[in-house]
Amino acid sequence: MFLAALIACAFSGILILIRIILGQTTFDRVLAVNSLGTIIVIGIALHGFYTNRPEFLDIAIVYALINFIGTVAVLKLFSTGSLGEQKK
Amino acid sequence: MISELIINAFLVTVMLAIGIALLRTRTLIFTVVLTSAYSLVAALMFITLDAVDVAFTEASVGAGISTILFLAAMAYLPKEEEENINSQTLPALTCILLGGILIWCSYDLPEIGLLSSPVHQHIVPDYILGSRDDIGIPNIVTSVLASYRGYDTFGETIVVFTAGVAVLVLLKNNTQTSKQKNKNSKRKVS
Repeated sequence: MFLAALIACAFSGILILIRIILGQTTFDRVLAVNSLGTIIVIGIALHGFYTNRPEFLDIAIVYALINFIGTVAVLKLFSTGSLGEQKK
Repeated sequence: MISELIINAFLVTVMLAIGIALLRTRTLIFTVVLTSAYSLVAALMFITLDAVDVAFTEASVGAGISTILFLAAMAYLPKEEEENINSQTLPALTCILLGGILIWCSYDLPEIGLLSSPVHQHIVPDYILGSRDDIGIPNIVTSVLASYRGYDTFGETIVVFTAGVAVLVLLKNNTQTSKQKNKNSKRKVS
């Protein structure tokens, strides 16, 4: 069961990778990289259960947080043109 | 065992694809985003190699902090980017040569996880057996980093601290010659 889920993850990962490489706008690509991060989070969790070591689950949580922070940072740079300080 | 091989081959292929996409891209922000994706896949690779602590570091530093630092640096760059007019033949040749030498050298490395390799024979058994009695904490990696190899870690910390101080000094000299409002904004980033 975990193996089938892993294969499904890998397949959707390939589809997202195609979207990253061929994506038209930067937003497409940012969204695709964010989705790839989500796939990787699921992949870590599934790999942990597949190899009978679900202790690695907390790393998946760290990944989810980092993925979120990275995407927010990129989009904030897009919307305000800077990270944090006031625009002059 | 064969499934491990398939997973590793798949991850390496994904990393290779991202690397080629990195080579072909000409937009700075997309380069930063792709580097972040590359780090995420590399961290997954470290997990399948059982190096969980390295994976943790790669995820938080490689994919998290360095992405945000690159973006913060990018906020100071002009919006338009110039075409790169330098020749890329010599750097490409250098990279291919270096990669070839490294792959050639990797054939002399002992097999991964081989118990009789020098890395696992020299002093590691002492660390593994004595860690509980000498240091008294259950995590062997932490006891090696913080106690057995404490002076090495201390040296690394000094190097990183020196680099940070040097960057601060450079930024300070830069702001003294420019205007006051520039000074405030650069302080926040540093």
